[in-house]
Amino acid sequence: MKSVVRTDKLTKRFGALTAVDGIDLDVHEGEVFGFLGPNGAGKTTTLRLLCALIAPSSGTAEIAGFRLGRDDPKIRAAVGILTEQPGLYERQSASENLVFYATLYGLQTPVAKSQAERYLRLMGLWDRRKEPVATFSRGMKQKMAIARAALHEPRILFLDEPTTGLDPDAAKTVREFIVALRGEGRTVFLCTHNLDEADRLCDRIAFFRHRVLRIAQPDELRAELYGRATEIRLMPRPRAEDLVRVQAVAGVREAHLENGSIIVASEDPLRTNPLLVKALVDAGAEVAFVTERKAHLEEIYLKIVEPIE
Amino acid sequence: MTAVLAVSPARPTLVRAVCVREWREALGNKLLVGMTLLPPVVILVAGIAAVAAAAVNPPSDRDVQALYAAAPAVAGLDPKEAVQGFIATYFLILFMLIPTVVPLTMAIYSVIGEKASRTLEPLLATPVGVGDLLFAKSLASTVPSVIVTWSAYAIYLATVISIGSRAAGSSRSSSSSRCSPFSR
Repeated sequence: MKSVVRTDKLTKRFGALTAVDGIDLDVHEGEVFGFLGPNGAGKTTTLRLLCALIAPSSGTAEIAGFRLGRDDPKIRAAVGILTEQPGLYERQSASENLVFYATLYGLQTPVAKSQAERYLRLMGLWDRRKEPVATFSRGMKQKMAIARAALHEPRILFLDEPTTGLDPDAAKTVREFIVALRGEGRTVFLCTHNLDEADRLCDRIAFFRHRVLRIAQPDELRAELYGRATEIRLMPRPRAEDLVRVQAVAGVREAHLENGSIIVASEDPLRTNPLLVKALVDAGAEVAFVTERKAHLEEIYLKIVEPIE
Repeated sequence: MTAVLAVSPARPTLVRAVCVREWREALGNKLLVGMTLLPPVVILVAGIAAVAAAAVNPPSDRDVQALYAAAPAVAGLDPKEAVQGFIATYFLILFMLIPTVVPLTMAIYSVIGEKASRTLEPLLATPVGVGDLLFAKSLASTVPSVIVTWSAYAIYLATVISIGSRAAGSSRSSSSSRCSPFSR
């Protein structure tokens, strides 16, 4: 798979603070790459480094085939960035904002206008193109900022908290847009605190706190950390002896009670689940549901990121 | 995948785009317009008022003698005209402040305003070099200052000439009416 972002011991220090500590990343073309970490972990600094907005203290990086520090204007032309704040010219109209930025990206006026129109339509803002951005809601401004980041058809889009503060409808538009970008073969580098969103959108996820703690696919992490879990609901609710009975079944790695269900982790659920049901029914329990349980990304996040706190 | 469209823009295109945006932004900001126009207006009004006051109030003989001694260039003029000319000339020095104050106000707003409204980072994320951006912003604040300075100067000159010629006319007519009995 072709790499579009590759870093080698990339480091950024601010005085005594090492915000980014020798990270090695390899982001593939056409993937949505999640970048998760707590506040102050250095995610935004990493984004700024990769967009050639700030210079690294040490280490090297290659973005879209260009060398950081040597080809910075080319890197900035090949990437788009959504910053934490929309940062739009409030007195100017939506259309004027986008055409201005398109011009700075070197687009000829007719192309700039057509790109502005394309993205305003895509974000559902075409009808308000002539209105000053100051009259827009937070969600509309965020959509404008995303449109600005994508205006010049960059190979890589760096999105910093793209759905923070958005209503469900606007957040859905943004998520659909990210999926569409992946469909076009673009790479999306997604910084987010919304773990559900990361789980739904990302092909791979990096857990980060000043350094990369782990990079993996969400399903791979689930399987590794929890095995394949099964959720069993009993009527009216599981008793203590039901749990003991389940734990005694061959192949069960771990079982516990959670929200009125028995959660069972086993190596081979296809073989173990029938045995579980049989053991419970034989003991007189009434089995209402047996479903596959997917661990939330939050659990995985807390397990990977929290321990070093 | 659509190819990347971005390239580094040509400098004239960049300068034009930045200037147009800055001017639109400035014209939409009443506070900035007020802050920018305040120094030229104050200088203009003060200069015109001083020249007009000199036209209305005749100088004392002692003042006139002191003026002739201090500024030999006005020695041949009528006392009132000499005082007016002296004031008008010396107020011209203040006009030299306008090309300093106006672009400074605009440039401060331009850079600090970008930082405060969080528009600086997206701007720096474009392939435009910082040097080119500063050049364009400098030009965007210099051009209005030149226009404002020359406009203020033109208004000042026209008004002062008009006051001067009116005062000279009235002083000639009053002196001729006073002189007429002697001439006979």
